[in-house]
Amino acid sequence: MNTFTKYKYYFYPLLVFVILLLILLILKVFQTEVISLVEDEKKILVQTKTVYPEEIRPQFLFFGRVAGKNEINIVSRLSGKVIYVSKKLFNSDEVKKGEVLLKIDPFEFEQELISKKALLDELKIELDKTNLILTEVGKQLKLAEQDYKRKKKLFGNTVSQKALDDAALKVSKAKTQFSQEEYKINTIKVNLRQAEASLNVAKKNLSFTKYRAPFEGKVTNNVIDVGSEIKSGELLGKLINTAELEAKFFVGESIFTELVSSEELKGKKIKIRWNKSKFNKVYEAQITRIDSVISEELAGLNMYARINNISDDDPIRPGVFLEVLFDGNVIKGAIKVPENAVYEEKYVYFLNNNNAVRTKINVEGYIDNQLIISGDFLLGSHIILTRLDNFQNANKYYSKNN
Amino acid sequence: MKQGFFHKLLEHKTAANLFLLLMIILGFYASKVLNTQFFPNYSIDYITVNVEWPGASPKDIEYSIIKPIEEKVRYIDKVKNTKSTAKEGIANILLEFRSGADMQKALIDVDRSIKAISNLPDESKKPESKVIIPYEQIGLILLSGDVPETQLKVIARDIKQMLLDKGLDKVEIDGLRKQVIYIDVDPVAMFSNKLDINDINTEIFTNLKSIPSGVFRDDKLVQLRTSGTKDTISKIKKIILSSPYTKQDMIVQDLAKVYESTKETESYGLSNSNPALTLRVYRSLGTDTLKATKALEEIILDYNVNINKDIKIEIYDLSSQLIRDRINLLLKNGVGGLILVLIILFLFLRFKVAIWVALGIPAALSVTLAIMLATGQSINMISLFALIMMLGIIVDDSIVVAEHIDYQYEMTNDPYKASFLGATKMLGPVTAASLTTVAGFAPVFLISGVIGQVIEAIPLVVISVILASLFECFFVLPGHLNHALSNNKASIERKVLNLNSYLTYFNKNYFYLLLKKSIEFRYTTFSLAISFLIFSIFLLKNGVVKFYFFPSPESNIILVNYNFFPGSLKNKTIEFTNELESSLKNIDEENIVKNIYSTIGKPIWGSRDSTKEEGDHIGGMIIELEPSENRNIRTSELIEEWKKSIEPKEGLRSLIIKERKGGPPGLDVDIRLISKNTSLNKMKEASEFIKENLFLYEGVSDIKDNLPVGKREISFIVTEKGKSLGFDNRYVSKKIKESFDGVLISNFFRGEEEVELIIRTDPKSISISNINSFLIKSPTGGLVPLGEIVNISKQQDFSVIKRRNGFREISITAEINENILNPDYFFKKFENEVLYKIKDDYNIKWKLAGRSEEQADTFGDMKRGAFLALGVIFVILAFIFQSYLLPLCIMSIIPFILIGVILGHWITGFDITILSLVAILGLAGIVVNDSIILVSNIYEKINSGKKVLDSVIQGSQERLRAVLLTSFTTIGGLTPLLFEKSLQAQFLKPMAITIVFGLLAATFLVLILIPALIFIGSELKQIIFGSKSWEEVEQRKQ
Repeated sequence: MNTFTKYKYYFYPLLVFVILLLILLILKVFQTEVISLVEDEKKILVQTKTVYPEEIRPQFLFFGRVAGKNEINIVSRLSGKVIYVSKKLFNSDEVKKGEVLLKIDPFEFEQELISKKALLDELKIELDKTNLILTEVGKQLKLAEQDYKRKKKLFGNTVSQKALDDAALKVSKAKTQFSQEEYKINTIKVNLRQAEASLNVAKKNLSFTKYRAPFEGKVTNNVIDVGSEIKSGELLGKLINTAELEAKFFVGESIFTELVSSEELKGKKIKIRWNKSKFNKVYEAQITRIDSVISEELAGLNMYARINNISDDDPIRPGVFLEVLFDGNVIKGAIKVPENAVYEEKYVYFLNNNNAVRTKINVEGYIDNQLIISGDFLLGSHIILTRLDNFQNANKYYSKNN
Repeated sequence: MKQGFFHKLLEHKTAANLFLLLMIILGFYASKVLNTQFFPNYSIDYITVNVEWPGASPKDIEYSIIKPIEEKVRYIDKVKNTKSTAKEGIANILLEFRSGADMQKALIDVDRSIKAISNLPDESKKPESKVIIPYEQIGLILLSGDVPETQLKVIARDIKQMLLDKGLDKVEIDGLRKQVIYIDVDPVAMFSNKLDINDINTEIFTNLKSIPSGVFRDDKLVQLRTSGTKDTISKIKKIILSSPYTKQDMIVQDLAKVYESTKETESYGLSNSNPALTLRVYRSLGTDTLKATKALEEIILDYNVNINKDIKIEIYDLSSQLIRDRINLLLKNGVGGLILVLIILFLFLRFKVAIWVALGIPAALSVTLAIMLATGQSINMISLFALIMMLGIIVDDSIVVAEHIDYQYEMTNDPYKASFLGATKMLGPVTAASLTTVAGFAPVFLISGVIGQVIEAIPLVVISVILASLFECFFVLPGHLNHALSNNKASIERKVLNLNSYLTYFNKNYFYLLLKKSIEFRYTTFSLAISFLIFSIFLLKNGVVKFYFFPSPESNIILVNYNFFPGSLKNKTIEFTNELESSLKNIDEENIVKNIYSTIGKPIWGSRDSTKEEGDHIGGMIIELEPSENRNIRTSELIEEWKKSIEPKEGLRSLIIKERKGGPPGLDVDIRLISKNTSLNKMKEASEFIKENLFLYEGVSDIKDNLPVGKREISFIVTEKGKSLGFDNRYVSKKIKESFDGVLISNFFRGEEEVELIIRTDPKSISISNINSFLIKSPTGGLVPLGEIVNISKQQDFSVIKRRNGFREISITAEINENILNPDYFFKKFENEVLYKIKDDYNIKWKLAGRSEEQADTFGDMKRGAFLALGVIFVILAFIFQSYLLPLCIMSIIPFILIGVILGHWITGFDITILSLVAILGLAGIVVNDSIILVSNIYEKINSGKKVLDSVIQGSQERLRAVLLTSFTTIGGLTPLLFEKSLQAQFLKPMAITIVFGLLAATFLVLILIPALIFIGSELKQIIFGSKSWEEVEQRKQ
């Protein structure tokens, strides 16, 4: 006890520290783990598409315009005053074949026809007259020859030399006269043919005063009106064959070479899209011809395609601007994906056990603003359509569709 | 000299009253003139350099613009840091200057350095550098309604003008999109006429004169006098174009759609699915927040009266509201504290004495305000906090002086002599005590950075208070007490409640016994104190008491930022915004959501983790809730509930919803990857690796990095064939830009509104499938398919690249929920398990920034400061008491204040914060004061030849009242705050806890431990130098 009293000043401090240590130890032991890890990683919801490879044709798009299959210039053959213009010209309505488009004053041409006809008649009368003379001269020649023959037989007998010579002279004269008449007739005949030709020209000219449409179509750019004086050879407008329209479009050299190497382009069916504000229509067309030379300046050439199935009331007109949709060659085992789903033009991501798995693919072409891709696809696997960035290892992906 | 002065002062009949009057007048004036604001002014001097390079990629910008400029400007005198950002088309270099730099000179230096750079790209525009003028946001105005955006724009401009006229310094309109007249050209029609965008642009440009009522300068439309946009559009439609193909004239309308719209590439605002704008109103540093707010409120009130009911105009996120609340809170608690202080004074001091001591409080506060005004301080959250903290300390000097005058009066019964002796005798100790308090707070000045600038208001206020208090206790108080005591000779002993006698009884019996025992068992006393200290530190180290660096009071503002994967469409962003709004409304049962404003196309401002990246895939939201006092659900709870209720959205890359935190520090987790030469891809991989690991920790959320992947870009390289056709890269990129981005034909003003006239290829007609066929006009005039002349490739790159001090830097940020995860533990584990791999596997340097960096910096500064402070305190004490041992004895109490502080936080369940640390510094000063009072007395007795034991016991007993009074008044001043329920106060409570509990424990220890320590000290001295042992002392005692 005494010892304790002696050492109590040293014992208590020790006791204090021992108790402290015990308390700290207990606290330390019962201290909870402060760091815990979470199981669920960051979730990202994505849109996916189930892969069913199919045969797809890529689509090429070109810019072009509509042209008529034949287009002719309306040129005046005659000079004169216009006395009639078809109303259809002003309204750009369609005209029928043979329909009168405009008339030039015909008076002058009618008068010429009459005078040419009169000349012809005159020549015909003269021909008849000369023919009669020729017949008469022929008869006289015959008589002179018979006389000569008879006298020759009788020469030495009853016929003197003189009489024979006279008869021979008569024959010679008759012959000369006959030849003269014959020549006259030929000359008249030539004149007659000339007169006939002139008459035909006059007739034709008269008919040219009425300009008739050579084929069904529409007139553009008409610059004439009733009363205007026109000269021969003047361009009056253009008649376009609207029954058959053609699309003319420009194809770049590289695409052309790609297309031409694989299939016969002539006769190929393509689509034409006319998309103008509220009007949107797709037409069928068929390639009819291709420029023979690739333009050096423009790095391409023009192609032409006949547009089918245009109804009468279709508003499409030559000159309208359009897009040409050109189907490429069939790609087997391909799928269509939005452009956003393809990375660096060679990868897509597949959803596999909530991971995005980068997979190499080939981009084959485009269709309807989507990419056509091919590669080693597993039927029924899920391709991620939502755009990701290339750094997403921390994420877990879940399909919105499933 | 000193004595002569005090004699004169005491003899003067009016001096004390005049001084008091002067103090109060000064205070009144100062309270009217002092600026009221949220935080103290803190500004870092910045110069920003912007360089535009239209169309250039961030990588090109980084390489060709930022690097050369950085190299030149980094070493300009006083440049502390450079931060650079490369975004598409624009480079930004931010130069941070050391404080005290001459910014005008710095600007000239920067300009000169930039001018010396000769290898900037030709296409880039002239670098623009300017000094950043700091502004503080005082509030936001939300304009929304089911009305056209144009109408909101007119109102917004109107309000902006009114605000500026009223003297507000800066107003920004957020969500304002430019009006644009678009001419969308049909490419098919254009190509068929052998035209391109530039041809049409030229024709329209030359024909613009046909627009009536336009004002032209140099053939360019600059102003439209009438508001007839329709008229303008129809005139543009009718502009005649000639086609080189048909040789025929056509009009713009034939080729293009002409319409007016808002600019598609710009971000805009939504609120409740309606168009919305937000006006952000700022004050410059010299403007009073409350006055500015008043002007703002008046304007909006007036405006609301005359406005169409469909349009909602509301003020939100008003910082002055917080200031008002905080001022009210502090005033309420201040008054409570004051009453408690007065009660304590009246209980223990003579009534007249107590009155004059109490009067010292308003007087000293008044002078404090005046000093604050004179030294350029302001009323703000921090200075108010400091004022409250000092409420108990402000009377300490007065108490000590008054108590001593009272003591001397009891001894001499001569008021004049007592006052004189009280003042002169206490001049040394009180000045020492004041100086040590200042020294205790002074380390705060050493804290660098924004935190330092913000909290340096505390020592400034402390110094102001102490100066005021010193002035009051020596210049005013003695005179008044002399007067008061002279008039009250009859009632010397009369006190309101004679608590003094109880105290005396306690002193003589219980305190004596306790003191005796503690000295007898001095090693046990000491070991108990040490044990408590170890136990407390253990609690802190093991996370039982948590440390939270810079807490913020609960905010009424929620900030949301989200982004989809780049390339996602704007519609999805809008859709998601609407979904977020409706899900918030669904969970908002209490109707606490006041305002919502969403941005489409850019993140919300004020969010620290935003990369400021823009694009259709990005959106943000700011939500204002009812003030926290008016609701039962906490902001964090609402956020959690909201997060749970949000349906996952396809393609959503990240969604960050968080409460806005006030205060200067960065984010909880901010890991920086720094490298000079590592490729961005590799850095991004490292960043992803870190992020991936961060996701694994429970309690870590809002994980993000600032190297965002941008939209995919289509890039072109001219092929050999293209070159042979006369194309080159520059020509093609110009043509492509014209065709796809459009060309600005002209911009003009319609009234105040700027309208752009842009021609472009109809965006609807461009698709990935026709891009190859898209025709580009060759230099010779032919239209050539794009695919024939260029190789087109699509690439996705980073949309923002950040650099710091010449290095590429990625910042990976996250938030930590401290209730789930202890940040210190987390960082330790994360550094050991994850971050070391960054160096090994990726060869990239990393460092911790944000809160941990600032915390480390602040701690470092504080540690240095604390050592310095201890040294200064020692020097002051050693000087005043002319001893080396005495100061050590006085200061020995300082480490033990941790016991009260840590246990106090443990008991109350609060985290230790930076405010606790600041309070610890102050507490050290206060405790040293107590210690001085006690130790100086004991030493005085020892020096006068008394025995050590007697000196210790007598000296302690004599100073019991003074020690208890100074402590209790300080505790009393802060007690109301300790019991304050309001959420705002939760932020301030750690400070109150630190001082109240720390002081309670320290007072006890000063009275019990210090005497024991003095005895141990003397014993050791005797063991070393002499022969006396405890037994001898014991024997003598008997």
